[in-house]
Amino acid sequence: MPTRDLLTTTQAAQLLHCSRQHIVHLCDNGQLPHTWAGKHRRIRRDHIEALLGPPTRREDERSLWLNYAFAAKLVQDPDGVIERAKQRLQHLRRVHSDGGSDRYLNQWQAALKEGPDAVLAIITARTEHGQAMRSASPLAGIGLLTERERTDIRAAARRHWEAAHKTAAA
Amino acid sequence: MNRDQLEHALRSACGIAGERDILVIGSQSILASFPEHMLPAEATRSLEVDIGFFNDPDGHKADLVEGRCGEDSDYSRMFGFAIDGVDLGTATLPDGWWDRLIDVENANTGGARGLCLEPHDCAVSKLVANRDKDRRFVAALLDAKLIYADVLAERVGQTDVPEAVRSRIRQWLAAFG
Repeated sequence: MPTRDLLTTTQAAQLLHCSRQHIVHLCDNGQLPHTWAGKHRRIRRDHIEALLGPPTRREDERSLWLNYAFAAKLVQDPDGVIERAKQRLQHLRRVHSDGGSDRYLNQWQAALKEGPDAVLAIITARTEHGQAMRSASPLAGIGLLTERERTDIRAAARRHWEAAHKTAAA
Repeated sequence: MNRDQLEHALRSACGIAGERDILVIGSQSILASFPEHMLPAEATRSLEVDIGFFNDPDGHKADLVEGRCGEDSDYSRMFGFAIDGVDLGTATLPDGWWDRLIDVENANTGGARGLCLEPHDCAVSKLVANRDKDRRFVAALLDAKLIYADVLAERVGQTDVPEAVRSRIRQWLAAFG
């Protein structure tokens, strides 16, 4: 196995955002396969990545690309888009009056009040939080994109995804 | 989302794709098993429902539905929720999940039959995904005693994931007794 795919305990800890001692603990109690390089443990990168969870789904990537397009509309007309999103937020609260979505809708309310920078940070974030917030976004459904634009973006996102995964598999 | 919206989504997806059977694999599948008043808020926070079709090898049907009812569509604008057509390979599920699917079919689904994940199977797929919102979803169901940690631990053992993932999940479940 190429050496770049074998990690030290320090490198593994950095990837998992934990202490090196925790990595050693996982190795010692059999939860994390490892080999030895002299007196030092070496851990396969794919074993660490398995602990992090699966990579981004195609659907999440597609949503992100749509939101990149929303971002372009937002910077063209920040006041107008923010106002429309606020109205959409009120509609979403009425439709989802059971309160199940309040966690995200409340955060959106705060971001819209804060302004375009806060909204842009959310809609373009490649983070778990960004994904979760985009699933309840008041920017979707306010007519920022035409049907043709949506179709083109979805098709482009698909091509990008397939090309990226084909490259990774090669 | 609520149960009525799920049934509406099934009716819509059936009409667009021309398929009666629709697999519901996301968190909204929980609506098939419990009435809304029993569900914690964390379990129904999403404004999207993830669906797939059994006979859809190139994902064309899922794409059709997502194109008409997905994020930023006129449909989502009108009804306040979106339907996301997903790759069925998205979710990692325990062996035998197929036999435990729960039907949603009534006058409101308009000829569609929703096949929803059994709650523990849904929870296992979330714990494999391991996003913060996924752990919160499962924790809320455990705290509400709608699913059980020992069943989840057993199902994890029946799921095709690396042993490191199984261990991670079981360690997390240990906090729930």
